[in-house]
Amino acid sequence: MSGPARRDADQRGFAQPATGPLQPSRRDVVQALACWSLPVIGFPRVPPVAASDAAIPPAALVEIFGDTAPLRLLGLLYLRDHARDADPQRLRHALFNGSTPQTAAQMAQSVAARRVRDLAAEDIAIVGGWLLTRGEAQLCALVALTAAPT
Amino acid sequence: MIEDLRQLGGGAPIACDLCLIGAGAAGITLAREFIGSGLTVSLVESGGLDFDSQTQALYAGKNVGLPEHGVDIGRLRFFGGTTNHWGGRCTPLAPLDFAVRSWIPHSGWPISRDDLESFYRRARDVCGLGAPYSDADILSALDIQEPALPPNLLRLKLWEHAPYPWSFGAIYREQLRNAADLRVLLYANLTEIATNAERSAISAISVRSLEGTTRIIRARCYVLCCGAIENARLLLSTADERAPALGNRRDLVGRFYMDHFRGRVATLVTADPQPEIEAVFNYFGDPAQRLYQTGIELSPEAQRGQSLLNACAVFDYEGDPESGIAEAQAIWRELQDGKWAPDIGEKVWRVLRDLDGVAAMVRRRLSDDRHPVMPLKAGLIVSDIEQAPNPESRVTLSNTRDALGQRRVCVDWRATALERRTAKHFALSIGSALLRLGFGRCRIEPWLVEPPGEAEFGLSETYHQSGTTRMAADPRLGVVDADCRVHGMENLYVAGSSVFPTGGHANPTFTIVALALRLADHLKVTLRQFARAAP
Amino acid sequence: MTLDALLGWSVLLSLLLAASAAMIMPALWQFERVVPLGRARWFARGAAIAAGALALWYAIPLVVHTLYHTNAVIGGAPRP
Repeated sequence: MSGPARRDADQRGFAQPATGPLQPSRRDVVQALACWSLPVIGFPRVPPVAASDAAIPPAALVEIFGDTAPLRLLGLLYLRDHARDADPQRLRHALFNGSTPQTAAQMAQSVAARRVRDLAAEDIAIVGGWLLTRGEAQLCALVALTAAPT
Repeated sequence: MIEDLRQLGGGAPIACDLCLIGAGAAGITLAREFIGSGLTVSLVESGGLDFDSQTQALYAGKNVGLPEHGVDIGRLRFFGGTTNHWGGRCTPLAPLDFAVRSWIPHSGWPISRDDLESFYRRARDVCGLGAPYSDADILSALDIQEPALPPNLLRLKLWEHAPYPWSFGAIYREQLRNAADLRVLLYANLTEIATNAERSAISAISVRSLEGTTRIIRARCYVLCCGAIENARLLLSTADERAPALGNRRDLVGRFYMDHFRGRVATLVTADPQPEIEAVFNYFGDPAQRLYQTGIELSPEAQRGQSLLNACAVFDYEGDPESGIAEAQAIWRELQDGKWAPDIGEKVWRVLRDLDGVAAMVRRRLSDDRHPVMPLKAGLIVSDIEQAPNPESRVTLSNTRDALGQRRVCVDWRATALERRTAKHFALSIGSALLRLGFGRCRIEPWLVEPPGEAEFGLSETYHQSGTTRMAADPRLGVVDADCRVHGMENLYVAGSSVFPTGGHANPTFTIVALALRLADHLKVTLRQFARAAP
Repeated sequence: MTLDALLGWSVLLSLLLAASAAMIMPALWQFERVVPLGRARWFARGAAIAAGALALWYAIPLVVHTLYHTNAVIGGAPRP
């Protein structure tokens, strides 16, 4: 597993408010990797999606999160209990208002803004015991549905 | 004076005004209150001044419910009682803990928090706490920035700590030894209670050492101060073929056995190498060597709104083992205590391996004057959950007997669904709040997230046993009345946590002392009335 | 003893000896000008530096403890 750069001490949480860059630290990935300990039996089988349906440019994902495998795993866990969200279109609309960001910076801004709204509304999801904002969980679900496994 | 029954030998009955059975927090507090009162007091203690395994073995009992190690290792049977391993954390019960809560059957005390307020103030001296300050003043003096927790759900909780260790036996031994009109009798086990024909008053008790030396004690009043399990056992042992146990006409003695449920409910991780949270929720010392602890508690609004029990949580931090900063801080902390850290060689090497991190921390410390905090591997969120009073959770007598021929206890500790629901809601509230405040991300313990029945109950005991001789104004609902007098008995009282109808989340010792002070005031009046009425 | 402990002790000992030498040697040189020690000076220097290091070992915790009362975070696990 490749380790992304260590986060600056002033940054916290899964995503940064819109004012700064998004750089998950080793700890966030370790958190996500905690899901590896969970059995994969029982995860929903998700049909492969054609490249043209890819919701998020893979390069942007890798730039922000480094290794996307933990996100994918979190997403599968989330979809196990929220089958209603197993729809890339629905998720794209919920996360990006239909207009998919093409660069890492755009995506970071979009996700961060959604995070702030979710926290204010206390819209929290429990994914494998981890508390994620709804938007974070939906982003993981979107990665699980559309990004090729790395 | 302090005497050893084994050396005293048999002899004439000991006569006194007040006989206190058990020299723990309650018994010693009561005894001290009568120094200089002109009333004669006997303080009877099963053990000696120090631990001995033979006496401790008298506490062994049977466990048939949830695992409850408090039966034989949680309570201590020598002078000072369980305060001999007391952690010293002090806080009063909350006002809501005393109220009838419609969502908690059998809740409600016959007294209110206001009734105990003046006694809590007096209890501070007994527990070594010193002058009182407001929470706001303390937080300000410790330079703690109170986080913006959602007030309808959570509150910051501040505990004061008695200087550690604060064994009542060690602290007050000499005072009791030198007190006139006070007789401490060690190695004296209560084995028999004699009553009048109506079984409405105690006429005498018999105490016996393990070696067989026996003495009779005749007092005007008697107080059982042996803790929740032993108080119940002693009362239940007074039953015979002709009559139920003293105070047990309604089969309430031993029922409603409670302990706090403690355990990890969530784990916090953070990307911040200098986690702010450590500067908010932790142990703190002030220049006067007073020790405090901060944590989180469920707000009364959340308890009412969500029909929950009371609960609190503290943070147990696991240092990042890869970090030289943690090691440097450990070395510094030990030096502040006047010694080198154990395994100093390994610590020094780890500091050197992470020299850039240590240097950065030192720079930061010098520039911001922030409290030094430890790089985290994780913060374990450890919660104490109040137990709902449950009549099926109980202490009874087993058929096995101890070395004195007395029946041992059988403890059947049971939980209800409300404890799990409270723990889950509390953990989720904390996790959401910490996420929103940017302190980090929480993982709720799996057993709280999985459906009940599929995962083991993840909380265990705290040695805060209570409830077995609960207080109630109505004798149909309790064993003792609001003055801690056993219903139906003229001169038998109970002191300690066995009288608690509910336990909140607070460590019981501070309330035990406050109630003992209140009982002492009541007994002084009562004994003087007895003296005037006596021929 | 682990390798880490050995290395750490070596460093700590070196630091204590270096600090002791830095404090003691100037005074010892002055003394040697007045009282020539001949070959014994090496033994005297070694003994003085070792004694100084030992004194520092005991003095450092004492000084830190005396000077540093603190509002600092203490840490520690919950007690029963």
